[in-house]
Amino acid sequence: MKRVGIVIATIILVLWSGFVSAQTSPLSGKVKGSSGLSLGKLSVTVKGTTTGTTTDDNGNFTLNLPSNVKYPVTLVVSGIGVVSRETVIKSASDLIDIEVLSASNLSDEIVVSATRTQTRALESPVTVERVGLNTIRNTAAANYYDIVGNVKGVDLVTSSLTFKTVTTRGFAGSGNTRFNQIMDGMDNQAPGLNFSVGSVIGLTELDVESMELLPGASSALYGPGGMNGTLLVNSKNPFKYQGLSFQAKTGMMHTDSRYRNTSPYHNYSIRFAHKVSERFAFKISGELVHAKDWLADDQRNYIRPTAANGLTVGQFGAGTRESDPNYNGANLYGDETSIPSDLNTFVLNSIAGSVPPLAGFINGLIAEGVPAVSRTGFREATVADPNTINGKLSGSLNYKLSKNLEVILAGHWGTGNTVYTGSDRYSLKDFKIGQYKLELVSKNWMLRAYTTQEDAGGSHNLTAASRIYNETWKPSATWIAEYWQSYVNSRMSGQIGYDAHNTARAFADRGMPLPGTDAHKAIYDKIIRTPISQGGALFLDKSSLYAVEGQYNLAEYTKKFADILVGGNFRRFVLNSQGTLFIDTAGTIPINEWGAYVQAGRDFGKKLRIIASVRYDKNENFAGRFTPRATALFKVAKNNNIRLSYQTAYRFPSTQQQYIRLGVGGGETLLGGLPLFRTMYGFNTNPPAPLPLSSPTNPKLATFNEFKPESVQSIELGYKGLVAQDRLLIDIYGYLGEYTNFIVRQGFAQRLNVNNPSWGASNVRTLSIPVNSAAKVKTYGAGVSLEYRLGRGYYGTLNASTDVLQDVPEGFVAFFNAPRYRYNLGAGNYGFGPDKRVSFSATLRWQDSFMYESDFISANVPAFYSLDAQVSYKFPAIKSLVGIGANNLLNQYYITAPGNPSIGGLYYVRFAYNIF
Amino acid sequence: MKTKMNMKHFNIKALFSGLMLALLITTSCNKDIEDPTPIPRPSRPSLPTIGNIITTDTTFSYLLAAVNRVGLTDAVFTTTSSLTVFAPPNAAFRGLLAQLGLPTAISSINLIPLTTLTPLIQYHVLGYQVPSASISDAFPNVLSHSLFALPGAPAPFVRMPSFPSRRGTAAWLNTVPVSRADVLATNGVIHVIGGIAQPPSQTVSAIIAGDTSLSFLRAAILRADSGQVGMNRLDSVMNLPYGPNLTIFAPDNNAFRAFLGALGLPPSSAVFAALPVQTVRAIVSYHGLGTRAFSVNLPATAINVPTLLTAVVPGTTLSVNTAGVRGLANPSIAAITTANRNAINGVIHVVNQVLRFQ
Repeated sequence: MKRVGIVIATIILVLWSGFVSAQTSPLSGKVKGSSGLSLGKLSVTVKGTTTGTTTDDNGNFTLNLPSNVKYPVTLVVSGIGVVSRETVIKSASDLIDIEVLSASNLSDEIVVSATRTQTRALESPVTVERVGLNTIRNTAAANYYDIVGNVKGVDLVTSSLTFKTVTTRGFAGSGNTRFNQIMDGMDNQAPGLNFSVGSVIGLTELDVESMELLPGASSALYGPGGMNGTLLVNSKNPFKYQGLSFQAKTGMMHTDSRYRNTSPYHNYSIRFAHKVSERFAFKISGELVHAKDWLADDQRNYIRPTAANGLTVGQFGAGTRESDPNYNGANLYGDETSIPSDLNTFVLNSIAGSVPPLAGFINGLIAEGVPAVSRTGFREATVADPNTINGKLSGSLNYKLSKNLEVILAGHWGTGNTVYTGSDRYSLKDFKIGQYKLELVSKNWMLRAYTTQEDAGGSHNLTAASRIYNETWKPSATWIAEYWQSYVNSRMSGQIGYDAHNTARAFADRGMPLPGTDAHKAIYDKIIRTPISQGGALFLDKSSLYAVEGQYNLAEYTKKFADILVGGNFRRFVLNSQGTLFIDTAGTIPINEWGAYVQAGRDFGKKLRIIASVRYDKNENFAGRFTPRATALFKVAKNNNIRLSYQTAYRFPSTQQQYIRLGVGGGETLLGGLPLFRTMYGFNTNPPAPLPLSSPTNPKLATFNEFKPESVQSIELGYKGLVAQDRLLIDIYGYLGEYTNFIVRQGFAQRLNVNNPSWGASNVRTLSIPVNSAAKVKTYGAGVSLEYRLGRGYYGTLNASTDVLQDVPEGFVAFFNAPRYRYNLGAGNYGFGPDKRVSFSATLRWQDSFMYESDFISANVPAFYSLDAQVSYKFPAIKSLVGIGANNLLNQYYITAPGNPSIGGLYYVRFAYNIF
Repeated sequence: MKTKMNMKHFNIKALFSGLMLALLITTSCNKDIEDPTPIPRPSRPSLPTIGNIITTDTTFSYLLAAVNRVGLTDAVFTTTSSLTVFAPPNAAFRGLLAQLGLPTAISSINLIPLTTLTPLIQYHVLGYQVPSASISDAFPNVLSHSLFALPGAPAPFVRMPSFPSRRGTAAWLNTVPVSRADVLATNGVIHVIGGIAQPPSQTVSAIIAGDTSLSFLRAAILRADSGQVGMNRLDSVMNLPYGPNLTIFAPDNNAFRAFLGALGLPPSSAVFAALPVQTVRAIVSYHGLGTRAFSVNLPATAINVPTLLTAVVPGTTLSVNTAGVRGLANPSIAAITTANRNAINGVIHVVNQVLRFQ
């Protein structure tokens, strides 16, 4: 932190000293539009710079351009309700009258993410989806982040109300590490916990200007990680968007009291931005979400893969707590502790040994077969904090050092309680994450330094905490002895196995302090406040990321030949979990990685534009790697373009895949894939065997190859165009992807005592180690979206997409996790009725059932649909808006992944002031 | 949809609403998370319960009354239990009432003190199913666990043992013959027995100590235990209510007098003190079996069975059959003069000879 500070200070000083104050010349104009179009609060900027202003209520604006400005300049008008429009101003004397079209006409929206330069969305050479202000304001969503889920090809995995993970093109998962999320240029993956914190700390709703989504491989421009896509969320520049605005959404959840009692939902956000002078502007914004979270309460019996049962992935099976002594409920925690059959036989034999007359009877019981027995688990509602809280605070100071050079100091800080699904369910309690950056933006170049500081707060693993709870109130050795004594007694008392097991459990559990009692709280709270390294369940993660990156657009100098863009970055992760997550008991673990890229684009005639780029990345633990990209855009007609791209992406194993050492629910230990673990666990003298064991007595032993980054190559063909008198926007894509060195977690059994030849449950431990799959994983898919403008502000949208995994070898677990088909159907109006005061939207989302595979639970996710809708009414005189909205209007519960919560209806009323 | 629809009038709003509606109908309900599926209970034969059977069959009215009185009603009527009931008919209960000096009317069941009746009824019930085919017909017999918890035992699951046995088609509970085996019920099996099997109340040691006709044996045991402590004392083993399961062939005092006389020793129990401890210990040990054999379990054809001495001196077996028992060095079979004195931890058969292995 200190070093970064020094670097930042130096940069500021250097720039400051070189700064020469410039004269300005005002440029005035007027934005016009059809009647009923609100022309106030529109943003007018000089393209490629941060020079800009906003219009007054009549559409008038005055821009302060530097007196030495070189004409022509291009002005960009954008804002709510209008189509972004570019106008070229040839000289200062040009009459500036800019006609804008209502956004309910199909647009020439501008995207940045596709090529890292401003490009018309219609002319993007790769598939790009943009969610703009209009959509954010007019979509029913408890949280703006949910809106991404309505975009074609997107899967949203909901771990809790405030914890959502976006992905595209398969391989979904909570905390997906194959999908980059970039907020104002900062990668917002938590450096230690590895999930993207977009919905936890990202931008506040009122500060979001746009979200751009690049589905599929996108490493060439955005660095390693973007295997399956990149989401960029951009905030509002305080020079462009000023004033005070706030919004309150307050509502109800759990209205049928099915999982919890009906409870309120609160979401308040506020933003204030002010341009102090032409040079200096600042903004500050905050958001607070508070609700009782959705509840994960799947009580089905989950059979985990073990050395004994020969499963490759877990599966649901028959069994309840009352009918299966070894029951392991999906969302019950603590019942993962399973005392294996051979140990139970041992306990029975020792009872027989101490009471000889029972020997015959007990031998009879043993001959019936002795099951494994699990400890008694607790439902999620009884151990997880039901309150989900999310507080965000962010701000920035923007200072213009010159016409084309702006320095931005920004900070985003968030905290909250939420539940996350990883290899278990984790309660993220008082979790804090901050991102701070210093950025210099010029017309042609950008230099940015930022850091991510993570503090896991009171975060803990619910499974581990519950298992430790059981061991604390009664150790399993005592518990199981009592269990079998009681079982024997019950079997001699007229009970059959079924009831005898329940009597035995009740006896062994007698006196257990139940959740909700003070006695339980006293024990449980101590466990969740004790670090994992000291026998508790608490993470002490304070990992951080430091990054510096820059980019230079050389087009000005090279445009005769090609538009060339170069950039590079350096990142340093510092893992700091005090041994509670990573193997960092001896001190923090630094990981350095760096990368550089170059992109060249050139038009060949008026019909074809080709862009090629290449990126090189190196991580100190892995070999360097080039990722090329080539795109071609064919302009077949006006506003009708065909795009073809070849993209590659690759991903260094996540920090956890490198360095984790964590015991999890099923009793297995997650290890990192780096060679140091193989040494530490003595694989050379005590080699593990892959699960399922090839033989119960003499299994084939594992051989480990070099642990490599994974990569994907994809080819995509797409079309985007406006047809039917520019009323219908069509976007179609199809892709093929091939993954190499795909990283998967593989289970291994290792003998505890190498001199004991037994591979039975009591002589082995289970290790889960990330390895590169030898199989090449191939995927393909396609998507189509239609957006139709009906006139009078009405619009309808339909998108459908498919993702398919092919040629999967038998028994191979790919964690593909994508429904074969999904669609979104929407309709709305940005303004109709008297003075166009009313707006509404409705979206129906449907996805097919599919098999979801994860370290936590692998099972089928049933098909589901969800209907969102909202209606708003504007009060222009007081710049306000009221509305009602609902997510999952029909309260049809659904899950997005097995073991994740059931999501029901959320109904809210909204009041917003001055949202632009 | 009408095929002749004029596309000019085609209303795209109507199309959208229609499509929306159609989709809502086709996807009307999300599937709930499935409930966990219980593993079904093992299927049971559809038969009456034990309770039903002893209710229907009025020859068990007294038993039913007794079962109700001791609180076993639920156990015999519930379909989920699993029991073996050795069922004495009404006549057996009348005999019991007479023995207790009570009127033989059924109402007298309520006059039997619960402290007597409860152990008695529990002693006739096993908490698991033992159809006759599962009853061992090999010597001696298999210890079974009645519902009657052994008083003073260190764990609740130590039960007063009972001994169902079978020899061919004949079967017994201890020594009480089974008159009709295998009356099957949905929750167990009934074996009708000819009388009442009294639960024992004393240990082997206490019976010997309390019987003046066995005072020589008692003296021999005490001499054998000389210098021994804890469970190395034979008397301690014979006095331990749970764990040991013995058959003691107990020579009466006359048998000992004859034995001593044959050795040229005075016919007095005081003589044991003069004999070497090891010798006395061996003699006493030779009279015990580590299993329980009632007289009804003795085979018609003699077989050799290991004794408590066999572990120390290999080959020191006894020959037993219905006629009695014979030591390796005995010239004739020793007759059982008093059979089946059942104790908590064993059974005593009084014999008329000291058994000799050399």
